[in-house]
Amino acid sequence: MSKPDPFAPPAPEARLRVPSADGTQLNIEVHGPSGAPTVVLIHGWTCKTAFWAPVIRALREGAPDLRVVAYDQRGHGASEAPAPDRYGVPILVEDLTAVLDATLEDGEQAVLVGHSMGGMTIMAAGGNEAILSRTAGVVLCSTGFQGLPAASCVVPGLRRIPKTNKRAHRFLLGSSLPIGPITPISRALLKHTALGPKSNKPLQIANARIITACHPKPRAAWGRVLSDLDVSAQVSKLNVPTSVIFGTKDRLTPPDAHAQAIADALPQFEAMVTLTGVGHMTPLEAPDAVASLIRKRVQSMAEAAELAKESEL
Amino acid sequence: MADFDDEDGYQGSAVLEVDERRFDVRVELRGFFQPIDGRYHWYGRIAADPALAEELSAGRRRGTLTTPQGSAPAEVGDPDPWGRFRVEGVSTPPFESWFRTGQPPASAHEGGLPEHVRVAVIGAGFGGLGAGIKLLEAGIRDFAILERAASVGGTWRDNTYPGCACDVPSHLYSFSFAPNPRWSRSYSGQPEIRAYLEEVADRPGLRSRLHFNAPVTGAVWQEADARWLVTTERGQLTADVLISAGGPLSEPSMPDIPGLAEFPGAVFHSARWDHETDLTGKRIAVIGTGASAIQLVPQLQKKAAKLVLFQRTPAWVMPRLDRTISAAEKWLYAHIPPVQRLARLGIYASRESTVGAFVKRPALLKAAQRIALKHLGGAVNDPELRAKLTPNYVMGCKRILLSNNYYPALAQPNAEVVASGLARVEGNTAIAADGTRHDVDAIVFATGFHTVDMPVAKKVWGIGGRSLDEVWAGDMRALRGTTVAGFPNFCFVIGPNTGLGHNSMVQIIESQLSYIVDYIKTLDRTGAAALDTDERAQQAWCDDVERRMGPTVWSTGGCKSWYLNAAGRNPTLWPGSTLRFRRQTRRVDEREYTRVTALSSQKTLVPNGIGAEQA
Repeated sequence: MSKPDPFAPPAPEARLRVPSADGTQLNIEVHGPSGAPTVVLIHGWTCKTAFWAPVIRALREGAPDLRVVAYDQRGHGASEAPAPDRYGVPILVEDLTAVLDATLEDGEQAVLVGHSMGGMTIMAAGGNEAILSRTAGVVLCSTGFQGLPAASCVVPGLRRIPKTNKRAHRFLLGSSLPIGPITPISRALLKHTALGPKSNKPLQIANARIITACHPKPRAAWGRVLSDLDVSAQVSKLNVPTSVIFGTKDRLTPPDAHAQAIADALPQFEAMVTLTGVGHMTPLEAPDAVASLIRKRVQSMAEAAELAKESEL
Repeated sequence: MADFDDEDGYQGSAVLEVDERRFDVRVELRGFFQPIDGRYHWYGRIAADPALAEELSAGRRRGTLTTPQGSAPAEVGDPDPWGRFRVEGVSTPPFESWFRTGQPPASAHEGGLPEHVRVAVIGAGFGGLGAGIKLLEAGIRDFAILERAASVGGTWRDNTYPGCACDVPSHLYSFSFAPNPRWSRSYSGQPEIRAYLEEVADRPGLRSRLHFNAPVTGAVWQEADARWLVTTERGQLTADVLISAGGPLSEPSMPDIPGLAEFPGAVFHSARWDHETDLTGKRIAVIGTGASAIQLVPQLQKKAAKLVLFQRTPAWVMPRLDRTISAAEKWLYAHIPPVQRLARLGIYASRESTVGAFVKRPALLKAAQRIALKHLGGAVNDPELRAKLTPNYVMGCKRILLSNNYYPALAQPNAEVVASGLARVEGNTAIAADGTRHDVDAIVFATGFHTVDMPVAKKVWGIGGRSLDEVWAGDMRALRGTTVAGFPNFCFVIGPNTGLGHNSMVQIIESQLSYIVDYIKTLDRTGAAALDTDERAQQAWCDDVERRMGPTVWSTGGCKSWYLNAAGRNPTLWPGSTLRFRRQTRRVDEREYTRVTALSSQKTLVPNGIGAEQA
């Protein structure tokens, strides 16, 4: 038998349709047995649950078994695309609330993992009791909380002319031009944008498949939200132990612009992992590193729960 | 004694006491335990009896029903169109039942729904009830029928507009396995068809599996354990197989008319008739000239001060050869059943023989146009009105309508035909697309149904969490009108390309039901958890349908009908004979499906208490 494709999405134990606050139907996948510690995976812009496939595999292989919840952000994957005015930072938080409501038992806590826009979702939930009360730990992958277009360096050679750089990246984010089909050219462009320079062909193809599957309209709508995103007020109220992971070759959220700022802003900053030669798609490119960081947070969650139990006795 | 799952009952003579009077009656009673309210329900009918009909005219009343086996308080309802009274009650029934010996354990879930069933059926109209009977016949007893309303009947329950009737003779427009010898007319009205369906629902074993007020809000395929998670407004259940019998004529289609919201008078759709509003002496606008419109126009014309009919396209209207069925015929049908089967066969054969004209030789329909034109000429003398009512496309392209009083009603002085659609409304003025203005007090939309976009498609999510609506992308397709690739163990009753222009839909429903039963038997035989339609088989089927659609009158007739979708394709009709469809759906061809196995056979999910652990 041939080796299974590490990027093929594993079949979930359960699939749910859950309406968010405004009725938009979200697609939620639940992997792993009930009763196990829960990890919630929140993907980034132009991605979908399949983006987490290697991480879900890595998490499920380790011990103890985990319950992994992944969902499609609205307009992505199998979730419904809302009306044009139903995109925005508060809506990211509403959708996350709906997912936690549907998948966590009363009083149950989870580790939240966000990549890029998913990380911004978690940071935007800072100060939101409904979410923080159910969050025992956070892992942020390749993300930022403000000034995204100005810091990006997808378009080469513009970093020294900040205004033009900002304008160029704003245009890229908000463009609704279709990308597909997957050709060597589009694959190379998407690799340049999102992946590290050493990424192999299967990885490039998986990356291109995920990104080109995103419908251009929601992509542009979310891109415009990201252009102006600033959750610096909320991130300072994200009062939960948080680990951060970055790739050094990230062009979309370069670590030199965002990593230090996030570490400084977080009230309970725990650890920073920087992966040499890795691009923006850390969970795709280095699933084992991301999974082991998640494992550590799950372990601290278990220890904290243990402590809380002892103090109760 | 039958097991708890079975309904029990009594058939024979009884004494009914109402208002201190005694009637000797013959009854047929049944009962079952209903887990929703935790009580035993019994019900049945009192055979038609002139003495009883005279005394108990109308309205529900309480009394006592006594049989040789016992006595119980009973409620007597209104008589049905055939003069039989419905009788029902709760708790101890007036007949021997296991209820007296001991109550069965109620394994009900929230909202009274079972936790898991082999088959879940959406809808309790012709399709859903037929599915229930066929499943029971095949020995599949673990099923639930989910109905959004509080009673059975589907489109024949919802359409209550004045004059509502069927365009297919009743002896044909009924199940072959549930003949009704009492049809009063060759073309029955809606109340009689609805009563027929209520009677069908009274078949043993059906009522206890019917769940009312349970509109389905979503159905999500669970890859891991290969079953459907069905959510309703009354809770949820899982099912191995999901049958959608929602029907194509279930969601009324309302055009978006500017200014309608500000219209001061009554506005409603023909399928949601507002019986509270008295239209007598009012000026009424009727929008549309389809099958509903031509039935309600003559009724409204009689009582309206003025009736304005907005007509985008005139319809071909043929004479309706309707007559009452004599008592002698009814006696024959009831006592010598083969006679009724023969009568049904005759109607079927005459209908079926016309199919060639629709699908192969539309020129033949042009000959029939002469009959319709004569029909029009005989009733309408005014040449201007006659011109307005004369269609400019080939007959059959849009549904052929049958009526004897539509043209005469339009020829009356209080009726006006506007040969243009309704464009907008200003205050109480309805403005046609041609600019003419008409002051009216009420607007009735006889604008039909969502036929080409199947509202259920937005609520069903298959493999990968993709909805049927998304997969179809405005162009619905299915293998043999029944199954769709990417949606394992999901079957349609009246799916894409199963509609008819020439014969009874019940024929199609029965063919599909035998296919679906064979589908479930195939699952049992092969041990597969699910069957998913092969993409190529579905494509080949659709290509063949497309090819046959080419020469049909619906494609070549030169009209825009509710059969066509936005892309101009016809996803609704079956381009062939019902015999051909029956042949094509006799058996499930396993080569057209791929087997799906459940990943986990021992455990399921529990997000927020959903699902259950299994031993």
